[in-house]
Amino acid sequence: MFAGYESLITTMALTGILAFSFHVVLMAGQLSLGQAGFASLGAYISTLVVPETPLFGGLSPVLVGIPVGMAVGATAAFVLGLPVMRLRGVFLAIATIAFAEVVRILMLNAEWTNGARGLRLERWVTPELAWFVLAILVYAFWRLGPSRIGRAFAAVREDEVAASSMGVDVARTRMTSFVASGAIAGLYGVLFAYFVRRIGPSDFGFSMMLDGLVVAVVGGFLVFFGPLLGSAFITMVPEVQRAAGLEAGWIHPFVTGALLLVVILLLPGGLSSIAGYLHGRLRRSPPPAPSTGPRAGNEPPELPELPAADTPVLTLNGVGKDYGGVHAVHDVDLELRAGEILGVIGPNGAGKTTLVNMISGHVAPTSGDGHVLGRKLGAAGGAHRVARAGVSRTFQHSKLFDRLSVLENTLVGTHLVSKPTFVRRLLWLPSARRDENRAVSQARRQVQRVGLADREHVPAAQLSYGDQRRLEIARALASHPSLLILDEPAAGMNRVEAAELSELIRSLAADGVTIMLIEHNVHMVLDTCTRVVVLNFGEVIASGPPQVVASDPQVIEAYLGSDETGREHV
Amino acid sequence: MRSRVASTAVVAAVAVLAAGCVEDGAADDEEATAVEGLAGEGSGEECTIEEPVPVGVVFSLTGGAAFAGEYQREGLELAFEEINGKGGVEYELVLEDDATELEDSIAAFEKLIERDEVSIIVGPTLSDMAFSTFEDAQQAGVPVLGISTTAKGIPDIGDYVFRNSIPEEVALAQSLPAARDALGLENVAVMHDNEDEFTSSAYTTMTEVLDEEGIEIVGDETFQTADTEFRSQLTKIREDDPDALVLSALPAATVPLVQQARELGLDVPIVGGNAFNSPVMIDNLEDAAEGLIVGGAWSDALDSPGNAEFIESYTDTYDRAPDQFAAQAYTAAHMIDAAVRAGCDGNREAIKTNLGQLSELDTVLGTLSLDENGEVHHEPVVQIVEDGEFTLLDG
Repeated sequence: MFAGYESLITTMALTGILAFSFHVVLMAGQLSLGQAGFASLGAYISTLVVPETPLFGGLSPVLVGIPVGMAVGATAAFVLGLPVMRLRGVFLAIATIAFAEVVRILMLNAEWTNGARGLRLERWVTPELAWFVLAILVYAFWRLGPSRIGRAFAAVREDEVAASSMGVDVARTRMTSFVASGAIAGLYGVLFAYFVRRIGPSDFGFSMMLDGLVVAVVGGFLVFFGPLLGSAFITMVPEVQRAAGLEAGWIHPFVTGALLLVVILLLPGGLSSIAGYLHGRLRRSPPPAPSTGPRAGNEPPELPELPAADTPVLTLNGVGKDYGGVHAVHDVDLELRAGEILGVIGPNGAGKTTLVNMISGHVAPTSGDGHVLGRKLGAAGGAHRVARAGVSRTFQHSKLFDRLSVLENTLVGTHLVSKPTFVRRLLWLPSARRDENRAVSQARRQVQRVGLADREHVPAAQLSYGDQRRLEIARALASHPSLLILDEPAAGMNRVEAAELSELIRSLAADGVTIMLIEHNVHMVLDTCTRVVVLNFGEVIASGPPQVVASDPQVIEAYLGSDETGREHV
Repeated sequence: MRSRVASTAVVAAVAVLAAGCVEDGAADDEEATAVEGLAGEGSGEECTIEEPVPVGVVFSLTGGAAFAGEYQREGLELAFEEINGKGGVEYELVLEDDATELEDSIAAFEKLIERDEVSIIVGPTLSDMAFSTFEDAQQAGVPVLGISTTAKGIPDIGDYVFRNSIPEEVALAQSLPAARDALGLENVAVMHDNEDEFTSSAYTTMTEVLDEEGIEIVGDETFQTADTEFRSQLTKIREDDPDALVLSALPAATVPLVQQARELGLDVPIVGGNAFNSPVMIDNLEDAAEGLIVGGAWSDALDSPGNAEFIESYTDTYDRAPDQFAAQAYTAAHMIDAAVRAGCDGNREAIKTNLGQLSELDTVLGTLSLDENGEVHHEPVVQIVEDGEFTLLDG
């Protein structure tokens, strides 16, 4: 069909497939470089099962090898992932490179692989087959983006701590992307071997890893078609140079290298960010919000009942946390009942944030015990389990998913109240669309509730400080929490904004949400809360109704340093 | 809704079938179309062909095998320049660099075959790639002439595949007995690079030849292509106390390996194959090169027809002495010219037929013939380094 260009376009498709195996881990914020190892294992093992002659008279025998290669790659990734998935960043990269090297040495020295001489194979991969496989991948990644697991990938990439407090199982999400990467790499290995007619250990080396990574990054890993763009770019550059008459040996790699440098420096989001820019230019106004009329699927999901008023939500008995010799929190007793608005105040360093981190499962207590919504404090399993029990929180320093829009941030918050949709989206089942609409509707409600409805398509990083605080609250609310912990939500807000926030908090409590408010703005706490606890040097120094606490001499001393001057100021 | 799912499934199934189809037995189904302008009049030296004969060339000019590719390019260009000067037939070279990458090599072959429609292709540099690319040429019906593809099994790819580089087993079969006779070897140690396809294939041949010749292998060590430290293997070999060390390595590893062997006091002769038959080796090794025995296809000391002229004109043109790669490339051009003039036809089919009938051709490699399988036959040369120079070792 494409006489004279068949191998060029096949190579382009194969490079795109390899790039997808990097894309899927980059999407979830993992720098894994072991793909050459997965590809090698997948390819070698597939040679054991791929028949020598076409199937049923005309089907490519490699169709047998593809599922085998994918299964082998995925299994290898899972087994490798068990020990290495706890590593992050460059450490994960190094561990996975080491794995690829181990596989290479293994294949080099095994008998059945024929060592360095490799195995000779038939060419069973046609351009049509390669592009068909790539098209399936592009399709799958297009459907993945706005699904629940796709949002979980993005959330983990942007901020693992925030993702876990939205109920996203970070370890599992990272493992999912790692296994998917292994499967795609295995697929690539099989196609590559049956395209170049041979398989040898040296084919799956460092340079394959570099190629894949460069294409994935140049294409951009924030949108589904990035690898396709990257592969077209990398494959076409030499051809264009040839057409332009730049044939001399060193010029070609030089120009390619220089172009790469330009792309990386000027387009951190990869080539696909150009597409995003053009898209934005063509459609100046943000996409219209789907009508919120009474259409099927536009209601929020069915939400579980919140705990009945006055049932205990949180109990702490002598809870403490030591960092070495420092008692950050010491012997705290606390009880919180449904419907309450508990204010926690105290000077800087009083242990407020440590207390919150213990409740939300980010930090385990070193002494005492406590329960939150039926879960023991410090139990194994991580913060997402606490979130699943119904605790949702904001952070003292905003932990938003910077590159995601306001609505997308809030959608991550619906993780716990929405259903997995990826597989159903692949099949275009109408129920997937209904579930997605429900999630969007739940998210949109929260965005409206905090007053960001007109900014729902703005990336979180571009919001003003006050809006970022409000977005955090919207995201935390999207999970339909029983207990909402707000860690200094009014910091950086002016008086009017703080008053609005106070109003919002009271309305949430009226809806049945239990609230724990950590704040420096004492006036706001006194106005808003039903009960106040004061911490100083990690200990509770006062507790009770706001007016009582406000006149407590110990509190005044803690805030103002000495009781002589203190009294005059209250 | 159910019907929509069903129809989607049907469409998907059809797409899988369509994409997954392979043409069965696609080889040679399009009969090569002869270009009229490439068929000439007369024969032999009198032959004149109107259009220039397009010759495709794929060498590794950059990347790992560039050390060979550059010599090959120079040798080939020099020869065709001389041949074009003779008149009657003109050759037009289309040069591609495969950057020592398999995918680039495949793409280069496709371009030469489909887009440039060359009559014959010279190269690629590495056997590794030839196993894939020669297969493509065979299926397209384009003759190929390998000039450094010495691995076992290359000519078996098909009847369009030829080479003028003697296989490693031939070179070794000559150099090992010659070394044994000259030096009285009884037992040897073997070292090879087990990561490289070429050197591990040569290693297999070495052990076979040693076995046939009744030479005992007392030590057998391996290393990897990028290694630079060989002292632990060499120390073991020194303890085995062999009469000689037989080495299968690429040039990059050979230099430090031989130097370290000499440093450790391992002073036995070192016997090797094609891979380090290069004057560069002596320059780099200096004194350590003494006693190195090399089996190969060509030597500057070889008294073959035109060899002295070749060396002189090469050195004049490129300011450096030719090596075996240059000599084999130079020879390739003369073989192609001989085949074209034999039938006075520059078409693919004619070149294939006439190349297969080359016999007793006088070249700088010596008197050379191709057999019906496309395999080359000529007398290999065995050299020993004495006083810093390659000297023929009479076996």
